[in-house]
Amino acid sequence: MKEYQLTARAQALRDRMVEQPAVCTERAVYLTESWQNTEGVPAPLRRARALRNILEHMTIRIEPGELLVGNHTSKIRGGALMPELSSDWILAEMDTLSTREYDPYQDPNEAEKEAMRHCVSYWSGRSLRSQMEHLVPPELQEYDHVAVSSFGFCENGHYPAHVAIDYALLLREGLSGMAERIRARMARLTYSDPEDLSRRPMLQAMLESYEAVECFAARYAALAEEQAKTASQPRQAELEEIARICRKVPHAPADSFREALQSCWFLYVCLMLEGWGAGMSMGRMDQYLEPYYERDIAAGVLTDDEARELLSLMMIKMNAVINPQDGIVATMMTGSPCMQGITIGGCTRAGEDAVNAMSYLILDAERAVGLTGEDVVVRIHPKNPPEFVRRACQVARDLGGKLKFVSDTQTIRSLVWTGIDEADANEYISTGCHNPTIPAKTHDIGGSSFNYPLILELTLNHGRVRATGAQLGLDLGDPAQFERFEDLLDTFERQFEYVMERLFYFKNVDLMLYQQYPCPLLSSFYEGCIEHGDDLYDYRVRTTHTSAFAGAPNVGDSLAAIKKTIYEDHSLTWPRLLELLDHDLEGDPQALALLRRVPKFGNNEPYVDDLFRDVLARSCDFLHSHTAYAGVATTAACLAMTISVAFGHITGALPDGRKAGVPLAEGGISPYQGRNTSGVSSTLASVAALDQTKLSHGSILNLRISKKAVESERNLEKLADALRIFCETGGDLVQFNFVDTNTLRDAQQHPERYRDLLVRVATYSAYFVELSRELQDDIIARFEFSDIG
Amino acid sequence: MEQTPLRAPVFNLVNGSFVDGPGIRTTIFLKGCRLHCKWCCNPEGQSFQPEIRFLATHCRSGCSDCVSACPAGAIRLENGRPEIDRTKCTGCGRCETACFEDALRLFGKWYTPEELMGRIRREKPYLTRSGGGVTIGGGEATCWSAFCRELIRLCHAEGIQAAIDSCGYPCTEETLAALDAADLVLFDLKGMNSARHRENTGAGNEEILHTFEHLRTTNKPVIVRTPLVPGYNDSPEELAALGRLLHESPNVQRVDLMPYHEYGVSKYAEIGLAYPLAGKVEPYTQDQVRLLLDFFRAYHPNVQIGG
Repeated sequence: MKEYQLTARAQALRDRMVEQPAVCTERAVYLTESWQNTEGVPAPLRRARALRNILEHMTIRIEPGELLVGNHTSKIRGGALMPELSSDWILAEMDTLSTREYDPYQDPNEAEKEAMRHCVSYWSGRSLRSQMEHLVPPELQEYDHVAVSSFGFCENGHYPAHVAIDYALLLREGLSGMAERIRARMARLTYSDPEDLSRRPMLQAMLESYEAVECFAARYAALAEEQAKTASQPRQAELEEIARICRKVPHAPADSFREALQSCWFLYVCLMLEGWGAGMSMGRMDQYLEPYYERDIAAGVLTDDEARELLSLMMIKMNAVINPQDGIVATMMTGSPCMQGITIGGCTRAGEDAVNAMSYLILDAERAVGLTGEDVVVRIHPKNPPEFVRRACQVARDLGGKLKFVSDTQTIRSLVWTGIDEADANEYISTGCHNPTIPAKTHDIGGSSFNYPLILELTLNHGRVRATGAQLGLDLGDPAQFERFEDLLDTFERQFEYVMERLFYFKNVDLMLYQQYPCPLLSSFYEGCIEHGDDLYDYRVRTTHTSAFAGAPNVGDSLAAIKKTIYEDHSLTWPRLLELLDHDLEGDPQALALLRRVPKFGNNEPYVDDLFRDVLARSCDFLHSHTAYAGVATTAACLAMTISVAFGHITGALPDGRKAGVPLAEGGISPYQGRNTSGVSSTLASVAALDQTKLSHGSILNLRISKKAVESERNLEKLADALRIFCETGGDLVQFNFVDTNTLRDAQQHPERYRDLLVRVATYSAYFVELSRELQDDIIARFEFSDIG
Repeated sequence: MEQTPLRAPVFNLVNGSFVDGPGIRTTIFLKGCRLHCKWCCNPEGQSFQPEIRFLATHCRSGCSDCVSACPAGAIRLENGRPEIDRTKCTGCGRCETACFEDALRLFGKWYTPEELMGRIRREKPYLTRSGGGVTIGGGEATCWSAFCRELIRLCHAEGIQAAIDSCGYPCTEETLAALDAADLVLFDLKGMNSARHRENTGAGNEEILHTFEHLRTTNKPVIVRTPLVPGYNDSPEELAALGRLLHESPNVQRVDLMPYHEYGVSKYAEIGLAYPLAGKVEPYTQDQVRLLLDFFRAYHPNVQIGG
């Protein structure tokens, strides 16, 4: 089969996109201007008017060759600053943005710096991050970046928007139809019901947001008409068609595949400008686009290649987005991840095979585009055709380091376990790193990975951080007092609960603070928000706050090593082990060898896998038992982003044989780098044997497989089989890196030759050459399965 | 050789293998082979006894823990490095336990079929749902015939397919009984000229062809695996004879050509052996491999490189 290649226009647009990111000040400037002029206005209306000011005045452009239009910043690849969340870092870092080690951006020009100064002067002291300073007591400050990735989502500088709207509803109704619904609801408002007091401005704000979006589309229509005047054919006709479509959608329902894509894209851009968050997703694109595709194909007005081109153009546009984040956050989410999910495959609401022609076309387009911005998530359901899984594996292999593979069996089981209706669960998408979310129905807030190995360190070290001596945990006595191994587990659990209760505080503050910034445009597309006249951040909509284990496998390996050497073989004593940890594993090679030889997680060895499963499940039970601010449920996940590197810096030597300062286990549930040496199936089986249901909001497994091992069609099919079996036997998510060690080493030596070399970092793809050296080395340290084929 | 209870020395166990048969496989390597092919890439599989492997790069501290751990007095230090007298070494493995640098490792640990089954069982979904199974190889697996038969019986009891990788030598009742028990035989044909075969492997090919004939008459599903070693077993006459044999053997499902490689060379020194073909063979070019593939496709419909 001949593979689809990008058209010349798409190739040119793709080439432009592979460049260093920049920060854009326009959103910040227009938001601030509006905010200063709307003091005293109810919050939802204030937000809608700020959005209007942004969409009315920001720079718009139509690139040569573009068919789909709409940019969220003035930059080719840029991030819109959100000073209302976190602003002081902008001032502190504006002169070093281009030189910092993690995620450097282009140097802003003097006018931009002036704009930054202007905005920060307003928001400093007002931003959520500033407000948080008042709310976090001094004794909790020390937990930040040590035990927890951030003490507030606002520290990340974007919204916790792990969401997708109901795009099918948008396409069917248009904003005009939605506005009718809002007006109908407003007609039923009373003067007597006190709850209607807050509904009225909220509903009004939804309407004003729609007007802002329509104004934005109209500006594009006018620009296309303007450009068409001087363009020659065939570009002139293209521009006229762009203008026609922009005059129509998203105001009116879409009537063609292209109109549908343009309508979705406009909404997506406007949602980003309203309240962008890494994890904002395009939903189940193969499901809601399929009817428009089928209709156009039947009418003979669209070919498969035209559909692929439009899809590829949209995917390329998704790369215009990056997370502008401060230098510290950049160490935890390195590589400008945006995790803009496009979920395909899986099952329908009724539980039947959902794979359709569009699923394959999206894979074709992704194979041709293959950049970091578009995050294609492949749902694997037992009823999906094997050919679909094989094709997805092939695309992943050809791209080297892309695609998420998610198990329907496990994810739906987890969601139902947390109380979600099965039909709704069948509709899940993966947002963010990998948080199962029901479009337009649930909202998952990520953002707080915690340092699980550090809690073991506190347990073994009188509650103190070994590196700094900081007393973050309880002093529960000397480990030598633990007569039985179970005593250690009980003490670890107490320590875990103590630390978690402190981290819950950050969650609650966060949830409370974000209520200041309603998102009427987003909320209007969430189930029930028009009827209730409320906002996503009122938390009536089912919201979960995920606590994410980072470095969990180090804890499993460490506990197994302690159990075997101290409590079973009696080959080590507590004093000898603690001495070894105090000396960063130096000076007692015999003891180190004994620890190293205990079975390690990821090799299908029940000795460690069973122990790890039980310990993790106990911790999950505690997380699930907690209810956060405003009734938000607390859930569990294993995902580490790149904080496994940052946490590693402050975590001392561990009993599993990991030295102080080096990265923790990556991904989330990936076996510690280099330890899973017993075969792909053994690693998959180890991970699937954990209680994945209790890790209800995702667990991340990265596997490195040499490209050569899956070069042949027959081995590719075996990989697809292994993937299906993993998904059907309790596995949750797996992603692959098919990049050989030699290639990665060469890319370190000659970055200029590997500008668009993709790697799977945590739960996202990044350009290898844009990562810090330390993170590059950590990826190389992952075990590479090379002799399987 | 075989012991009560049934045990055999295993020198490697590979899970999640995409080679050595259809589907996803667990491959078990048993020690001991009566052929000594010059190009052998698993030299640690030749001896029937456990052997100590020495990894020089791991040995850095200059300690003498291995010397004091060895009950047979087979190890002495030379320039801070252990020298193993392999005539004295009994393969007990105590030096492996003593070496905290993991520089000494035992090739060949004794397992019962039940013990192996415990490990295989944990991979079961991957083996059965991918159309894969277990492959018993080596060394020459059929030298442990009763062991193989029992392991295959245990696999079958759990619905797991079992293959044997065999060179068919020697052609004894025991060998044939093991092959009969397997669902599939990966059969290594190493040359059609008996005199060359004797030079290359230490034995003529008559018995091997007898075994092959047995598989043909019993219609046993076979995948033929042929190492192709430039200048040693690839004369036009030999290749044509092999092609004809394959053409006349309807039980052969697939032919895997294994072009010469040197991936196993480092293991020779680690167990105190010299590599017989050191510097003597130039591997095929990509084009030559393609020509060989085309050549055999004229004789058999299903030929591939590797597998």
